[in-house]
Formats: sequence, C-alpha cells, structure tokens
Amino acid sequence: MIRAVIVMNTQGKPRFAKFYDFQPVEKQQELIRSVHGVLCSRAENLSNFVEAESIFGPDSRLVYKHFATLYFVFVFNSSENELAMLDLIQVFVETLDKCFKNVCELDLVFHYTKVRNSLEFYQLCLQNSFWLAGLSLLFKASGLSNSACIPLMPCLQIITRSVVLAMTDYLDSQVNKLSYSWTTHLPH
Amino acid sequence: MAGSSLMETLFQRTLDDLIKALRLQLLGESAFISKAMDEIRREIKSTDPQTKSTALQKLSYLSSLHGIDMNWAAFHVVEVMSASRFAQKKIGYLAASQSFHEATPVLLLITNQLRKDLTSTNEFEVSLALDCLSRIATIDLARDLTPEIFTLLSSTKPFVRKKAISVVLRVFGKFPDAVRVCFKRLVENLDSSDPRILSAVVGVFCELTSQDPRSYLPLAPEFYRILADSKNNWVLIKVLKIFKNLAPLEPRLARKIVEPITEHMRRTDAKSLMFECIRTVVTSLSDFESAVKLAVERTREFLVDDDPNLKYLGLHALSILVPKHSWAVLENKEVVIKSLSDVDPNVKLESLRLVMAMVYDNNVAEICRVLVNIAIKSDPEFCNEILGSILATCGENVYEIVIDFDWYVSLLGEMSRIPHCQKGEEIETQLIDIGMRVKDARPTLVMVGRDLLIDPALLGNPFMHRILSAAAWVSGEYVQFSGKPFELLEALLQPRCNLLPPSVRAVYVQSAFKVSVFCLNSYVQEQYVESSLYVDTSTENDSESISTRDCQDASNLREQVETLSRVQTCTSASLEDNGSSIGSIVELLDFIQFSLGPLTWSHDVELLERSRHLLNFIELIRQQIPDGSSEMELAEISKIVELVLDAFSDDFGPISVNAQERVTIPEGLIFKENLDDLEMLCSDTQLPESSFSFGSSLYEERVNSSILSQRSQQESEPSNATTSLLSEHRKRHGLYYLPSDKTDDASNDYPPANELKLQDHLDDDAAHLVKLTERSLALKRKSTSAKPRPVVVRLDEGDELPVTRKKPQSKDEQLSDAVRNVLVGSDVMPISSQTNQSSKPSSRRKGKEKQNADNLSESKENLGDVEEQSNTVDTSSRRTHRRHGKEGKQSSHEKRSEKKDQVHKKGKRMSSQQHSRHKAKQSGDASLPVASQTVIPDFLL
Repeated sequence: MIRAVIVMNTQGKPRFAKFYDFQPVEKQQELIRSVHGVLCSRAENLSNFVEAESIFGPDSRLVYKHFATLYFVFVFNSSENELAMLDLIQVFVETLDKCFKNVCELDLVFHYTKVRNSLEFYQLCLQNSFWLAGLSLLFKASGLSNSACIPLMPCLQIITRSVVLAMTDYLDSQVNKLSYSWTTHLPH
Repeated sequence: MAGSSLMETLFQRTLDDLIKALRLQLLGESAFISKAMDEIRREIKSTDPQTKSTALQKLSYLSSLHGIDMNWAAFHVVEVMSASRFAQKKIGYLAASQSFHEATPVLLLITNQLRKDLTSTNEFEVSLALDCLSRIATIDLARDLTPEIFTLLSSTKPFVRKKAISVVLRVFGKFPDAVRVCFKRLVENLDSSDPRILSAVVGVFCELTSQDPRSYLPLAPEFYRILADSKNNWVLIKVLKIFKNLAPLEPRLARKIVEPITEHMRRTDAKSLMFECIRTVVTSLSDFESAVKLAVERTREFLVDDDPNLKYLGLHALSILVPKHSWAVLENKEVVIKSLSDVDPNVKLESLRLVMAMVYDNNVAEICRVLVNIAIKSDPEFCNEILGSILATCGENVYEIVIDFDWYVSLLGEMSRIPHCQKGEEIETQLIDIGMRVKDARPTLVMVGRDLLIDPALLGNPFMHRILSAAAWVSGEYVQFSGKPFELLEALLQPRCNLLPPSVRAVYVQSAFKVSVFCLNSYVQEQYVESSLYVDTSTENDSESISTRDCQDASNLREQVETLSRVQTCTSASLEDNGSSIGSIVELLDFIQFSLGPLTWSHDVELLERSRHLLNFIELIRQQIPDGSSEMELAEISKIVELVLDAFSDDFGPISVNAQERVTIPEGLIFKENLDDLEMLCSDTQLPESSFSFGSSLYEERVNSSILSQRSQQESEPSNATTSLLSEHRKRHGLYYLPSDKTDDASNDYPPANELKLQDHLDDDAAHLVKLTERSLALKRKSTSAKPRPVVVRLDEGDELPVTRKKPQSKDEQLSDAVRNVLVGSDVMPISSQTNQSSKPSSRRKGKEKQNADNLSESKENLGDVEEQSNTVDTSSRRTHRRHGKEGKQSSHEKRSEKKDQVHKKGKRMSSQQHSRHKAKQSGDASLPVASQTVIPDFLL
C-alpha cells in the first residue's frame, strides 16, 4: 500500500503532503525534511529510487520524480510495484497539467483543494489507496462514460469533474506515452 | 450574536484567501501563521456551520503543510463531521482522517455518526465515512461498525463496494473477529467482473498474504483463475505478489503457476508486469530451470537498457538469484562490472552487492584488487561502501574465505591508506582479531603495522586513529617478529603522536613499553651469549622466558639464540653511532624518558598511568646501568626484565562473546538490591571536587607485579590513609561490601579487575580446542592456491552475538487464526489436510460461515441445503475416481460439468459472468497435465 504522497519544491517547502499512517505533525515535518535532504543531493538523470528504510522504517520504498521546481514523492511498501508507482506519479502530474494548463508550482500553491481532490479521485480508497482501482477504470476506455465514478452531485466541486474529464482526454490521446505499464496485456 | 456570526461569515477569509495572504505577507511566516491561528481559534467556535467548517479547513491546511498541531480542535472536527451539508461534512471528515489517532479521546463520540453515514443512501457520504474509517479505525470502531461494513461489501454500487473492501483490511487488522463475519463476502468479491472491485479485493489479499501467507493457501484456486484470465496489469501485479508469498509454502502450487507466469513473461510489453514476473520467478520459483532461464533472459534486457531504473531493478533481480543460480550473474558479468562505475549510486550499490555475492576463496584476491582500485577512484560515499563490503565479506564467519592472510593483512593496510577511508573501526577490529586468531599472519601484521606507524602523515587524519591504535597494539604485542624494534620505538614515541586522542596514545605508550622490554631482553640475552657466562643456568632461564613468547618448542635453544643475535645486530645497526651495545641501550632509555616526560602531567588517567609505569621501569633499569657490563648488574637487569617480560608473555586469544555470562557470581553478592539508600551513604563521604576521567582501556594488560609492589611501597602512606577511611566506612555500611575475614587490610580484599576475566579466558582456551576452520565450501570452490590456509582460532560458540528471534505479534496471530478458522473450518486442522477435509460431511455442518471451509469454488456452488448432500457425495466420489487412471477422471469431468449445468439452470444468482468463469475453469482444467492432476486435486476445480 501507499504510505505517503509528498509534493515539495526544490527548496524543501512542502506543497502537498499526505501520510496514510498516522504521524504527528512534528514527525511529518521531520520526514519531509529528511526526504528533501536525500533528494536534493541527487543529480539529474539518475534512477528514481531512494533507499527509504532509514527514514520511514522497515519495508518502505520511495520513488520520486523531479519536474521543474517540484519533487513528487511516493512512499509505499513491498506490496506495490516500483515501476507502477513511477507511472502513477506520471499520471498524477499529467493530470495536474491538464487541469491547470501547464502546471507550475504556483498552481499547486494556490489550488491546494484542487490538488487534493485530483489526488483523491483516483486514489479512491485512502488507507490502502488503490489507485489502481481508479486507473483500471481508466484503462477501460469504454467503461468511462457511464462510470458511476464521475460525481453527479452538485455539492461535489466541479473541479473534480474537470479532473476526471481531463484524465479521460489524456488517457485517450496519450496512452502509449507512459513508459512502464500502460500497454494492456492481452493473452490469447 | 447572530449579527456577529453573520459578519464573520461575510468577512471570513477562505482557504484561498489564506494561501494568497500567506504568500504576500510581510511580517514573517511564523508570525503570520500565529495570527491566522488566532483567527481560526475564534472562528471555529462560531455557531454558524459554514464559518466553522471554513476555519477547520484552514486549520487542516496549516496542519498539513506547516506543521501546526490540530489536536486541540478534535471536538470541533466531530461537530463539523455531523454537519448536514455535504461540503462541510467533507471538510470534517478530512480533518478527522488527518488528525485523529488511537489516543484521541473524542473517537468515542463518532461511532454513531459514522454508523449513520455508512448507512446513508447517499453514496458519497458513505464513501466519506469509509475513507475516514480506513484511516482512524480503532478496535472499538472496528468492532462496532463491522455489521455496516459487512452490508456494504455487497453494495450494488461499485464505488462504495471497493472502498468497503479496502476498509476491511484495516478492520481485520484491528479486530480479527470481523473475519468471521466479513471474510466470506470478501472472497466472493474475487469473482467480481468489475475491475475496480477486483483490483481492490486483490489488493487487500495482497496485503493480508504478505503478513501471513499460510492462512490463505486455500484461496489459491481463486487467485490462479485471476492470474490466468485477467488482462489488467495492475491486478496481475498484485496476484503475482500473492503467489510470490504462497508458492514457497506449497510445491504443487509452484508447479501449477509456472506455466501462466512464463506465458505472461513472453507476452507482456509492460515493464512493470514483466518485472513483477521476474521477481516472482527469482524469489519463489527458482527451482524451475526453464522459468529461471527465461527470467534471466528478460533481466538482461533490463540490464542493457539505458533507463537507470530498469538497470537497477535488473541488478536487484539478479541479486535475489545469486544464492541459488550464480550462473545468472556469471553470464552477465561484464554488465555488472561495468555498472560498478555507473553514475547512478543505486546501480553502483546493487552491482557491488552482486559482485560481493560472487566472491569465493579462489577469487577473493582478484576481486578485492579490482574493487580497491575502483574505490580509490570513486566518490567518498561509494568508496566506503566498497571498503565496508570487502571488510564484511572477508570477515564473515571468522574469515572463512580468506586463505592467504599475508595478502589480506596487507590489503587491510592498503585500504587504510585510501584517502576517503572511514572504516577505521572495522579495520581496527579485524587487525587485532587476526593477530589473536591467526598465528601465521603475525609477521606480516607487524610489518603492515610498522608501515602505518612510521608514516607521520597518517597521524593527522582522525579516521586513521583507530587503525593506528590497532597497529600500535599489534607491533607491541608481536614485537618479536619485528626486524627493527628500535625503529618501532621511535615511531611509537614520535613527537606528532600528540595529535592522537589520549585513549590511542595510551595504547602507543603501552606498546612502547613492550617494545623496550623486548629490546632490553635481547640485549641481556646477547650479553650472556657473548660472554658465554652462566651458559648452564641461562639455558633454563632462556627457555623459560622466551619459549612462551617466541615458539612452542622450548628445547630449541640454539635457534632462539640465533634469532636473538639477529635482532640484536639489527637494533644496534639501527642506531646511528653503531657503537657499544650498552651505549645504544642508554640512548634508548634516554630517548624514552625524554619523549614520555611531558606525559607525566597528562590529564588523562589512562595515559598518565601507563607512561608512569614505563618511566618507573626505566628508572629501575637505570639504577643498574652505570657500568652495566659487570655480571652482578647484568644479572640484576635480566631479573627485572624477565619479570616484566613474563607479564607480557601470555598470548591473547579471542574471547567468546558470552564469556562474561560464564563467570559465576560470587556468593553473597546481591545485584538486585534496591540501591536507593546509597544516596544517603554517599552523602557522608566527601567526593573530590574534580571529576575523574577514565580513559577507556582498550586492551587489558596484566600489570607487572614488581612495579606494582614498587609503587605500592612508594605510595604506602597515602594508601594507608585511604584504607583506614575505607575500613571505617565498611564498619558503618557492611551491607555493600564483600564479606571478608580480615577487616584491617581491606584494600587487599578486592581481586584485581582483570583476574576473573583472564582466568575465564584461559579456561576458554582449554575448553575450546584450537581447530582448523571448517571449509564448508563446495568442492568446486576449492582453492587452487598452493599455500595452505593457516590455522584460524575459532571458538565453538559465541563468536557471533546470539540472534534473538522476533516473535510474531499477537494481533497477527489472532488474525491468521481467525482466517484459518473461516477457511479451514477448525484451527486444529493443518492446512495441508484441507484436501481431505472436504470429503468429510461433518465439517459442512459446523455453521453457516464454515460452509466456506473446504474448497471455495465449491462453496459457491452450494446453493441450498438440498444440493449440499449430493454435492458432498459427488466430491468425495470424484476424489476416489481421481486416484484411478484416466477413465475415472474422464467420468468425473462429465459428472461435474453435468452438475454444474444443473446448478446453472436452477441457481437464481448465477449470472452470466459466473458462467464464463465456469467455462474458463473448464478450459484451465483441460489443459492440466495428467500427472499433476493426480497430485493436485484441489487447485482449479
């Protein structure tokens, strides 16, 4: 399961942070700091894995991606596939990009709620956070239009809806762009 | 009140306003936040739900990104959670999942609210409650809400159902008894055609099996079906992870899943799925040659990829394979070696690990050579990684793979000279350890130690100090192997030594002591030989004094004399004047006195004492020296020297880790006494103002008794004073003293600190034979080198610290018991017997949940009690048929399909999806090889 999602800028200021195991706030800040400490010492074009057991305890792995001024960090345990997680970051970022039209750090700063909603949308089940539940939905392009997942209730922010639409568009057009997981596997 | 509330609502800052203001603020972030917090504290008390929820939203934002504590607002969170408007409720739930934890007191208040929302008709409210529950569920919440979750597990809305499935994981973790209620429904969801539900439930089982795989073995057929049928990469990844845990437990299962997994490996383009397949094969299916071959083939594609991520994972997969299939690494040797100089630290580390896994006793030298060369060139961090892994690998299991210790010791010396080396502690330990364990390596050790000691440049590097301390100890302890002890002495007393920390310096001084005693002794011996006096008596003396130290064979005196004279010529040659020996000895004594003079004012107790010892010893010698050529004086000197030499002559051996435990506690020594009244006790003795600093004594030496007596004579008056004080104290507080007969001479009652340990150590040596290290290596790894491996002293036990096995947590046990209960029917029955169980009708009647007991796919077919009986009979008969050859099986096949068709017609809830599944199962069944079918009766029914 996914244990934490952190978005922070290259200076180490958190822009978005969600911990799925309860952590006291001081501990959260400390974790973010130590993650930043590790990430900022890494050069460009290296692999996206970082040894995380010293920071998050046993059975934890960390993947990150660096876009412009932002680090996107996912922490998870051995029940997740590393490459799949990298793809998730990619989806997350591209979704944000769709939402904000050329997403930049300021967008995340000013639209905290939007980011949270977009994350929540395809994360769906918080604790074990099966993003894949949402993602597999998106795989099935045919199933998208009649999906119960698109919120119809007026009280849900329209934002969420736009995120869904953005993701749909995105997946229709760019399915092949993702590197690791997106080719659907067809036995026989 | 209403007016102010309205005003607040109208002019309240929203979250967006807050964020904007936070960026534009001029008074500093923390000041601004504390101001905003004051605002929030005011607003959150408002009666208007909108104002309250907005305040809470701002608070949770600040808490999430700026580390503001929000525990104080817990009650407000509960209030907002119960708001009627969805947008407000949502804020409340979010805040709750963010800030509530086990110790939050208000958790007791929200049970009803959660229950209300879980049963709501609005699916979004339900999902909010589920989301929240998945984060904050406690034992109480899980217990109280299990019925609601059970209902939701079969919700018609997939959106709700998959969340309910995910929540089950947390609920099971907190309240294992929920398994009895929910497990069956959870398993039923494995049949779902909805990919969202399927992936959620597979994910839950993936987590569950990673904690306790054995309990879930009976579900293997279900997972197999998904593995064979699913086209969803995410689900497949999870199922593979499940099988990775299950396969090692059941060899038949492993045989079963190899086929589909290799199929996936051949077909898939998705790298993530490919990697998961590889990982499953290398961890759990490494006995299947063809699958492993294919996996290695695919791994190679990863290795040559430009993407560092894939390269890293490929190397990682190889490293899992190493213990069983080292050929896989050998095949990819070039890539691995090349990756050692990759830019990516992950790749480098992983390939280093691989290389180290390939080290055997016949290639260790070459590999270490290559690695050290790489270490010199690479960055400090990786350099130390390399050095650390060399040290760890070579030192493993008491230097099992090292054959040529001369080589290894010089490698250690070389490694310590690498500029980035920070492994001082490890190298120090190994140098000393080898010295004690491997007699044959001592000459080289002394040589290496000398090379390190005489280099004044090394003294400035703080990382070197530990190594230097080891070098100093080694050259002092084994000085007889040194060609030039005078040179060694100069190195040990060189002026730059004051750069060393006192603890290391103390070792230096002690070693200088040993070296100078050795020099004196060889001088005395030479004098004897030269003057040919007392030949008869000196024979005994010689053999006594030196035999223990130099060689076991005491009778071989001539050889000894030769070595001695050789040493003597060396020593005299090393001195510039090259004049008379007595002159050189006097010079030696002068030199020591000169260099140690300043140390007699050292603040470090250890250092002070050791240098005093040496200086006093020299003073003793000096008294005899004025014209030291006379016989009488020579005899006097030799007497003193021999006494001291005797003290150093005991050979140190390795000490077992649990040696301390074997020391019996003396009678009447009370350890567990409450020492509270010590306070009172101490108060009436005046402690000295200045605090003592005890330098850590690294090596225990037996203090020379003659010096001890000398000193005690000199210091008799002060010691008398303390003795009287002590005895007075003893009279008053007898409890804390060892019982003694003589009350006057209290100071003699205490055994010397080292005595016990030393005694024990000797016992140790006697008890544990010195034996050859057992070469547990396989024949093919046998070394080709002609040089025989030297003896390495090895204790029978206690070389390693005992590893305490971690007990599994009771909660996990409870959970797995519960699952086993549900799946198998009774926890007494071992899992492997489940195949027989289904044929027992009794287990069917155990209760509604336990109908699920035997085979799950069968239990689905049990539509009613009417069917049950025939079904049971059918199963058991099928089983008996199976055991006879093909015909029986054929008929059972027919029977089964017949029965299934019947079921299909009758069954109301049997949907088309299940029909297709049924088909798939049949096709899967048909493809079974005959042999395996007879062995694996249950899978894939």
